[in-house]
This record gives sequence, C-alpha cells and structure tokens, in this order.
Amino acid sequence: MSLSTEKPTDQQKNRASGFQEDLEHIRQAPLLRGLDYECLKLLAMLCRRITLITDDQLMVQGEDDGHAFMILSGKVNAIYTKGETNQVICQFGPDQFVGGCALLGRLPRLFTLQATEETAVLRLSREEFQKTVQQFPHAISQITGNLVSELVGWDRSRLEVFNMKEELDLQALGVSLL
Amino acid sequence: MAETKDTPLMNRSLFSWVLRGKRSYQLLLLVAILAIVFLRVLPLEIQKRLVNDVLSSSDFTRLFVYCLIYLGAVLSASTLKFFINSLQSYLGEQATADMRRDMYRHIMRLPLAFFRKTQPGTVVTSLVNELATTGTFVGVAVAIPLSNTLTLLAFAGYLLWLNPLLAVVTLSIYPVVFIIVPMVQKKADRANSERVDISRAMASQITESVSGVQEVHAQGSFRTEEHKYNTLVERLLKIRIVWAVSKYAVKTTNNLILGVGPVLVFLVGGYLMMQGELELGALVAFLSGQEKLYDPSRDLTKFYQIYQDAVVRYKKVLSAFDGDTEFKLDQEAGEPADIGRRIEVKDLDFATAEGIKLLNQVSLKVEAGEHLALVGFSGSGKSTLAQCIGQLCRHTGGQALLDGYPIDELSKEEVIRNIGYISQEPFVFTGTVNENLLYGWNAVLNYPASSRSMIEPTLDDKIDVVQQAGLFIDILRFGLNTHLDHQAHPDLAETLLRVRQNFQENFGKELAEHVEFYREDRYLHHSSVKDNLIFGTPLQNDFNFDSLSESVTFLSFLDTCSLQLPLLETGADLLLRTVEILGDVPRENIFFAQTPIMPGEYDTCLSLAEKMQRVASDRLEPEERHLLLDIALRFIPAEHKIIALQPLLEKLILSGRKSFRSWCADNAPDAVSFYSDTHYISSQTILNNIFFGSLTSDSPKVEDRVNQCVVQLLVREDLLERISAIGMDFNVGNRGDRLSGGQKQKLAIARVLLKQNGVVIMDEATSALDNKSQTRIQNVIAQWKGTRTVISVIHRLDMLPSFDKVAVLKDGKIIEWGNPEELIASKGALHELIHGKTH
Repeated sequence: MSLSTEKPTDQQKNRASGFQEDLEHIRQAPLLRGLDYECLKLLAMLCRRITLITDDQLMVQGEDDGHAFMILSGKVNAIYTKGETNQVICQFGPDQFVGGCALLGRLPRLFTLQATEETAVLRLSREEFQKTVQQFPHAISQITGNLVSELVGWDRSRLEVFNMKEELDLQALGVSLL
Repeated sequence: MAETKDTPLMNRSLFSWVLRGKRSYQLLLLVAILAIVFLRVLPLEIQKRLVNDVLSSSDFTRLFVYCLIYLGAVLSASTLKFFINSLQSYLGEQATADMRRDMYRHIMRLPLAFFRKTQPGTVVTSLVNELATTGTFVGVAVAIPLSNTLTLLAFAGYLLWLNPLLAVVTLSIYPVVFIIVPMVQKKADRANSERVDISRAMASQITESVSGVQEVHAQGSFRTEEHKYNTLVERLLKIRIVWAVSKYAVKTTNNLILGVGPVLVFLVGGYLMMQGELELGALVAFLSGQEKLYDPSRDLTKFYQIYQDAVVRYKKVLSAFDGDTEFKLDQEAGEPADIGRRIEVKDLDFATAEGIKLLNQVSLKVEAGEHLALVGFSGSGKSTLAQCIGQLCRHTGGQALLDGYPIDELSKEEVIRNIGYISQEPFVFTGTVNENLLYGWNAVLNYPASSRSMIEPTLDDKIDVVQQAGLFIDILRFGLNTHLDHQAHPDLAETLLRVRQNFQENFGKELAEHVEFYREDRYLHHSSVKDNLIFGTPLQNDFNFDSLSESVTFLSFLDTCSLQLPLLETGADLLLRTVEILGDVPRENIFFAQTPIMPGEYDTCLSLAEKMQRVASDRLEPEERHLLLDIALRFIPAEHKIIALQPLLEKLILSGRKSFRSWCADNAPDAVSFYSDTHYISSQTILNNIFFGSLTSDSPKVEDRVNQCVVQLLVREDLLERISAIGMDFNVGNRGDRLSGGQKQKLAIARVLLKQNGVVIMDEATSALDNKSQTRIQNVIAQWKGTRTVISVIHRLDMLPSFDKVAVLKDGKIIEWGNPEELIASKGALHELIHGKTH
C-alpha cells in the first residue's frame, strides 16, 4: 500500500534500515547456516546492537551469560584466567560469531571476552533464540547438524596438519568422537 | 454408597454432578416440570370440551372462558419453559464451573512426575472444551428426561382415560420407537467413531507431507503423496456419508413410526365413532395428543445422543488425569509449628516408575544451622536428593527427617513454613515484581491455620531481601524507568528536579557523551516521534499522549504542517514490516520489544495488514488510520530497527516541532508544558528526567558508572526507598519475559528469603548469576550459619570453603562425605571433581 505518490522502493528502505544489515550479519553465523529465511529474519529482529568501550567484557569466565555475539566492528580478546594469570588465547574481529553454544543450553564460560577497542556487536540471548526456533520445526535439527559439522571440521583441520611422527598433543583430537 | 462432595474426584460418576450442592434448584426444576406437564395436557381437555359441549351450544361466555383458559395454559407453559431452560442453563454452567474448579485443583496437586509426561495442551483442552460439553449434559440431565417422560406419561394417561382401546392402539407404536431407534443410532455411533479415527489419520498424513515437503519437491513425488492423502479423503468421504445417512435414518425411523400414529387413530377412532363408542371431541383430542407426543419422543432421542457423548468425554478426562496427591496439604489439627532445622536422611532410595534408581541408600545428617553442599557430575542424583528433602517428590525407600519428623508425612503447610526451596530455573509469574516477591508468603497465608500468625512484610523487609538477593539495583532501575505522573506526585517531581540540577553540576560533563540531551534544535533518536514532535508534556486531555491519534485538534495540527500523510505512511511501513517479519508468533513481549507495535494489538495489525494489500489507503476506517498513526508516533529510531527514519520525515518533524509551539501559543496556550530544564517531564522516565535526556550507551562500564552516579544522587535526596517502591510495581511481563535469567533467579531467591524459613534448599539457585552476584549471595548465606540450615546443590566448587560439610554424589550414592578442606586434602573424589582426573 502506498500513502504517498513517491513511495521509496523496498531496496531503498532495506538499505537504510538496521534490520537488513543485521540480517546479513546473522546469516553469516556458522551455527545458523541454512536456517529457514523466516527464522533468520525473526532472529535478526530480536538481536540487539551493543557498543562497547575498551575493556568492556562481553562474557566472563565461569559465568553463564546466555548470549551469542556477532562482531560488527572492533576487536575482542578471549582470555583464560588461571589463578592470578591471564592468558590471551585468541582474538576475534568483524564478522565472527562468538559464543553460540550458550544459545543451546546452560554454559558457564571457559573464557572471558574483553574489548580491546571500541567494538560494536549484535547480541542474541538464549531465551530469544529458543523462543524463535520453537516456531520453526526444522530449525533445531539444522542447528544440531551445523554444530556437528563444526566439530568435525575442527578435528579435520587438525588432522590435516597432523604428522604421525611428531609428538602432537593427542588430547586436542577426537572431539568429533563425542 | 452415596457419593458426597468428599468422594475423590476420580471416583465420582457423571451423575454425581447433577445433585452436587444444587438440590434446591433441582427441586424447583422438578416442580416447574410437573406444572408444565399439567399445562401441556390441559389444552387437550379444553379442545375436547370446546368441540363436544361449547361449539354445539350458543353459550358465548363459556366459549370465551374456555378460550381464555386455553390461552392462559399456553402462555403459562411458554413462560415456564423459558424458566426451565434458563434454570437448566444455569445448572449446566454451574456444573461446568464446579468440574473445572475441582479438576484444576486435582490436576495441580498431582505429582510432578505426572507433568513430565503430560502436555500442557491436554490439560487446557480438557478443562476448556471437554468439560464444557459434559457440564451442558449435567444441566439438562434432570429437566429433559423427566419433563419429556412425564409429558409422555401424562398424555398417555389422559388418552387412556378418554378411551383405553384407542389409547393402547395409539401408544403401541412407542415401544417400537424405543427399540428400533437405538439400534439405528448404534450404527451412527460406530460411523462417528470411525470418522474420528480417519480424521486423525488424515491430520497425521497432512503433517507428514507438509513437514517433508522439501523431499516431496526433490523427489517430485507429488502424486505419491496425493495418493496417500486421497485414499484417506475417500475413506472419510464414505464414512461421513454413512454417518450422515445413519443420523437421518434415526430421524426418519422416528418420524416414520410416529407418522403411523394418526393413521391408527383415524382407523380405530373412526370405527369407534361409527359404532357410537367415541365422541368427535375425543377423536380431535386424540389426534392433537398424538401430534404432541412427537416432541417429547424426539427430545428423548436427542438426549440419549447427548448422554452418550458426555459419558465418553467425561471418562476420557478422568482417565487422562487419574492419580493421587502425593502429600497431604493442610495441617490436621492446631496451628502448624516451626518444627526445627535439623535434617537427617537415612538409607534414602528414589526409583523412577521404570525402576531406575536415581538415589541409592543415601544417608546424611545436617545439624541445625549447618550448611551442606551437594556436588557431583550431572545425573549423580544431587537435585533428586534436594527435591526429596524439599518434599517435591516422594522417595521410594528410607527416610528423610526434619527434626525427627518424616518429611513425606508432613503436610504441605508445615513444609512451606519450615523449608524454603529455590530451583535452578525458577518460574516467575505474570504480574509485578512485588506480587512475585510476595508469592511464597501469600501461599502460606492461604492456609487458614498459618494465616493467623503471619505478619505482612513491610517495604523495609522487602528491600532487605532484594538487597540480599542482589536484586536491589535492578528494582531501582525499574523504578527509574517508570513514567511518573508529576501531578499525582508533585513533591517527588520537585525533588527529582533538584536531582537533575545536581546531576548537571556533578556528573554532567563526565557523562555528556553518553546522553542525548533534550535540545530544541536536535532530533532525538532515542525518543519517540511524538516526543520529538510535541517536545513537551501535555497539560490538557486533548493532548493526552495515549490518545493523540484520536484528537481532532492534534490531527488538524498535523494537517497544517503536512505531517499526517507521511506519518500514516511510516505507520503503514512499520506495521507491514513487523507483520512480514513476525508472522504468527505468540503474542509475547519478547517478540515485540523492537517494534512500536504492542502484543495486545497485533491481531488487529494482522487483519489490517491483510486489508491493506487489497484496499486503498483512503478506504481505511478512521480507527485503522488512528492505529497507523499511533504506531508511527511510538516509533523510536534507535530502538525500532525494522525501518529507518527517512531524512525528509526527520526534517518535517523538526519543523513541525517549531510549528507546534507557535500553533499552541495561538490555539491552546495552556495545553502543553514544553521541555525545559526547570520543569518535570511526565512523558519521560524518571531517569530521563534526571538526565534531561536519554542514555545512549549500552556499555556495561558506562551503565555501572551511571548506576553509581544515580544512586549517589538519590541517597543525597533520601529517595532510594521511594524509587525502589515504584520499581517493585514493575510488570515483569508474560511469565517474567521482561526479566533476564539472572533477574528471575534473584527474584526467586528474594521471595524465599521473605518467608524466613529455618531450612533453605538451593538447587543450583545462582547458576544464571554473574560471579560477583554469586559471591555476594554466598557471603549473605554464609552469615546464616547457626541460624538457618542450608542444603545447596552447587556447580561452582570455589564456593565450597564457605560450607560446613560436603557430600559428593555419584550414580545416586554418596561416595564422599565430610569437611570440604579435609576432603580436598585427602585427594579423593572431590579433589578429582575440582582438579580433574590426574594420571
């Protein structure tokens, strides 16, 4: 329906709305790959944009925050704390989806994620996610498939560099056998 | 044995509901039925007398009197019929309500295990649909069979009195009716039952085809699926025809047999008249009586069908909820005492219905005031043990004792007075924070014996427990995000203006980059379109923020600055985009948080979106245009991301803001109080009033800093308690969906703390909280040592040092028991649990 003679086209509107951008980002998340488009739209609608300043924490080791994050800009460090020692394990940047397992169930974090600069993220909560996937009967099986595929990919990528003659930390292999 | 009100629900027959507590009404019904039977027979006698005596005489007065009596009988019968129908409807509705109440009471007290295998939908359907039909039967269970049987008997008696021979011939058809009709009905019942089965099979087939539609497309197996479906359609078609024909056969058989009646009356009655053994009036009365016998006979047949249906449904409902309450509810005699705080568990077993042992010979002792931690891997039986001690499930062997009393023999009243239980995923009910906080306390109050000794918690008591649970800052935030009617609370509004001034002086510069201040020349992206446009607080009803779209004055203003059309278009865009994205989601707050559409108006929006696809905008109804305008006026660009605010509209609104101010000066000078840093703004939250702007940052660090600043300012003005009291009225949404998981857990902890129980059981009650909150609550709990007994299932093993004892469970058994430090030092199972297996 048009209430004026010069209605902006859908493309114009989409380009301008934050929703469309969020949808594009959400579609990139490995855990959400292949989900029904209607389900992705609903998830994009429910996730929130959060802007962090340096040293803001996205998640804290030992806490179950119940969120997943898609990083839009900036950088965050994954930090593991043992005793008094903090060890930076890796760094995440734009277009990386972090913490998705927390969407599936209770998960006290094993790492702390801390912004190293001003960082914008999309945040999706476990409750929003679970209420949404309940509306789409195939979503959970698709997500489970994605998770399995990620686990297998994790093992495979390590097996490719695995040299039988070398003393490799074998504990790091075999996740796909769970 | 007669059934009484105390007969267990599962043993009550369908007919027990007929007389249950409504005997006087049923008696009244009986009297009315007897009266109506008499009033139905009376016209027959009048008819006979008119034909035999009056018509052959020239006595007009008698004719008039008889006609008057006839008319009186008909009118009285109609009035009585109305009364009987109303009374039986009342009885039916009462019976339905009684059944719903008793069934709900029964269901809610069934063991928790029952709900693990029962879908909520089954409970809803049974309580809402099945019992309604059954209740309707109960309403008519006396009236229909009694009135119709008595009418049949009365007519039969009257006809026998007139002429026994002709009466016997006339009535001889009824035994035939009562034998043949049920036989034909049985066939209809069989067909109906088969129809239900095929309908269910068809529903399954449709679900399967639609679920696997991708495979159907991939395989191109459209015809295969059609064949499966069509086979069922064909079977359904046939059985529906059989069912329909059988139903009509019942009707036709009934009509046919009854139709033979007049023929018999003519044949035998005519013969008797010719022989001079029957008067003309009697023959007329016979013919009339014959006709009137038809209705009760038909009604009895219908009643038979309703009865069969009700019996089936009632049995289904009873069988679905067959079971007994696990524990007694009320204290039998005297006032329930505060029993004590010592817990002892002896050889406790818990086995599932399938025989799987979740607890196996568990024994432990917790002295009064001691704190025990239950630890172990998932599935070790920690939660089951906590539930047995908290009387949430009944153990299958051994004993759990509270100060020597077997817990499974205590009444629920005694248990909730003495034991507070906090589960891992507590349920928060629809309502306010305050209502949820008082939920457990009110539950105790609802037990008559306990209510006598209960003292209502004060605001201080509530604030104390929410502080202990770490919920105080959340409640303060709820309060700060409330819209305050400054006319109803002038003193508070004035104090808040002082807080605003202090904020500007003390923290204005520091937080300036995180606040969108209310400046007249700037568009406020964190405020609604209506706030941007009016930029003030309405003082007159015509500009009430809730009904702006219906205000003729406001609409005329929008037209003068060419804003109505673009706003309608924005509203339409918002509505269409929301409907397109949300589809048919449940009407829960969580789905509507980022759209200006409210869950309660979404059904109207769906219909409007559908209408807007086929109807031009100028053909929308005024209320539909109001809705679009409302949606546009609620639009907050920084929150509602589904569309972007068009630059042109932003400019129009900014220029509209100026126009509105001058328009008001000319047309309604006292209608609006415009934003000024010396006036309270009712249309904005308390927090925004303090800032004289909106907070734009969602950084946790900034939020923490803002909290510190605001608390400092409120303390200075002694407003903390008052704002937190406002925060307690915050509506938590549908089943608490406006609260985070952590807030729900804190609220659950606070509501148990308010009950002041001597024993507190916590089943991973702090698992959704951040480390700081967990540590704070653990410190609070540690202070209860010696006064409250605590049994806590914990997942964070670094909390162990604050417990007196620890029980390590594995496969339903306690494998280690003792002081935490000693156990860790012994490098056994607890050490392994904390540090992992070492080789």
